[in-house]
Amino acid sequence: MDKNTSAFIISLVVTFIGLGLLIYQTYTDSVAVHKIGILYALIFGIGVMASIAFFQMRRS
Amino acid sequence: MLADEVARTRSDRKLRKALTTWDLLFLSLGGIIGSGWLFAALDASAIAGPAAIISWIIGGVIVLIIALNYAELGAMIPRSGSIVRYGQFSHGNLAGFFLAWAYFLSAVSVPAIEAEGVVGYAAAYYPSLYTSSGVLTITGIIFAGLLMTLFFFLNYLGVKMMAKTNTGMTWWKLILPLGTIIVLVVVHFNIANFTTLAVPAAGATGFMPYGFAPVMGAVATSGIVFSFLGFRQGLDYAGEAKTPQKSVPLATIFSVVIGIVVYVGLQVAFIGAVSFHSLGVPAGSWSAFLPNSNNVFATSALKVLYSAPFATIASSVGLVALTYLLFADAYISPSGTLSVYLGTSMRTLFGMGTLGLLPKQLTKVNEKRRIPVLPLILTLIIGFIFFAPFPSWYKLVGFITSATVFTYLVGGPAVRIFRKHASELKRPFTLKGSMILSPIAFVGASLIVYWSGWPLVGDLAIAIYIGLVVYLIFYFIHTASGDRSVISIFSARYVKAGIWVPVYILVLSLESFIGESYLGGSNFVPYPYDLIMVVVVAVVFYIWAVMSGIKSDEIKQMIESDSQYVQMEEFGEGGAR
Repeated sequence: MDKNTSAFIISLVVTFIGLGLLIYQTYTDSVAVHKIGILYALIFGIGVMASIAFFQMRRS
Repeated sequence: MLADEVARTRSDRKLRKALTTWDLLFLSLGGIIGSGWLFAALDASAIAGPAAIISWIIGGVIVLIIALNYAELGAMIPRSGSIVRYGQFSHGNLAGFFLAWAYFLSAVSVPAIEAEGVVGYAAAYYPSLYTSSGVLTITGIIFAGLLMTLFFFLNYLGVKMMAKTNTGMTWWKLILPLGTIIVLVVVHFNIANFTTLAVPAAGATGFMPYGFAPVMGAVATSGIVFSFLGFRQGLDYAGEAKTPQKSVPLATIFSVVIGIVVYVGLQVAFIGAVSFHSLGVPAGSWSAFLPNSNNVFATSALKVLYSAPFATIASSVGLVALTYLLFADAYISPSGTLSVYLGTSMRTLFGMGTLGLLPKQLTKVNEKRRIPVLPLILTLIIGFIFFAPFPSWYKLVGFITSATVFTYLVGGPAVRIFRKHASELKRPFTLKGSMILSPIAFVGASLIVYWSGWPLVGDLAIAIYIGLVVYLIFYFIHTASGDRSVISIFSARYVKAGIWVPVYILVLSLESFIGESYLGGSNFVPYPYDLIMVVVVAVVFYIWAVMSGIKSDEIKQMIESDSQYVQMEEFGEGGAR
């Protein structure tokens, strides 16, 4: 497995962890907006962006 | 002179030609969908009411026509930092210098602005990053500096790594606004917001509550046109594209078209989703979205809306997950734009160096990374200078950003001049109807500069003339030391060809000063006569610009040595990824 594939898989894992935390936070407290929810959204966002970037690096 | 130009072409050859059409498209889109998308819809509707939709369409169409002209130029002469070069190719060194300087001013300040933007959002949770007077604290400067340094290294790793990372970020920046549009239209859309008039007045309608002048004013003053101007990225990275002949026009045109669709959609969704009842003001009170002259809002709910428009709306209708994503995007979008503009600023300095307007050391390309490293380091250093704790600097930076529009004036005339003086060059994309579309692009760019308002246009003129002082310092230092790499811009030929540029910025300043009071002018020429004035003067200057175009040394060399398209030069070993 080359390093771009490894990075792609790690990014995917981060994405799903971020998504899971975001969904958990949303359903735990569906009224207020907390710092921790923004942090989870950031983890999800960074995971999505890194996944796409490393997927593209792997393809080229 | 020819030896210098051969050396400059050699620098272009050392850049890595690795970018695909998608990479270029996403670089342009990354510039168009920056941090502005979170706020521009509120600003535009506060100025023009629901008719802000028309403002987006007017701004988008004007920029699209300008972009069409650049699509022909970019496919014909693709170079890195190309926008600063076309003015010199069409009108010689004097015009080239003024236009390049204006472009440099705008490009170099953006990374610092975006880094400050990220710190600004973080300050809501960590107040120690900003002082009460609105300047960065030492901690804030360190945080912003670290962010810039992070993206400095991303750019340093090479254009391919930077472009792929940007593609990932831009997908995010594209999906989130589109998702926001769909969700808000489906969940909360009040059609009455488009027709309800808060204060009856002569000629006012619910759709256009403040008349037509603010609809046009919003094009320049609410961030509409500056959002679309990000299309330049595809042109500025053109020298590093695999097949620029195909990629540059596609990326340039489609980025603006996609931008128009996204921004008009966001404006429609925002207008339909606003709940005046929960904001505590009568329906149709669009102007209440901005603070009054004492920086005070009518209600506390309006202040919250102003700080995070879409997130506040999403939260008020119970879309908590979307609210989190929108708050997170306030960090992500500016970071993406920071990264792209670090690269653009670097390429602008590189482009000015290749023209001989700045020292030739700036054209040296790192053989391993295939990027010009010195301009990248300089961009980082200048960015740090912008962090200096003087609040007025931030305002100055805002004025300087609008200098970009001024540089786009030359696109239309350059197309017509190259058709005449460089007919031998291949044109993979030929703009049909350029007899009409080139002058429209020139008039459109002139109107946008005018709509920026007084005293901003006057400040712009001052900032552009300051460039002359900088140039003269470089010129005399280098000439005194026997170094001839900084060229003279004052030969009779260049003055004759390019004098219209410094004259036009003065004329635009005068027009702005005597123009419509809504735009800060003295109302000596009120709306709609001010429009007629700007259009007529622009047509006169367009004719002057086209008539004074020359067959520059660079164009001659391109034709004689068949160097229209620059092939990548192979190094013996090593190479960036």
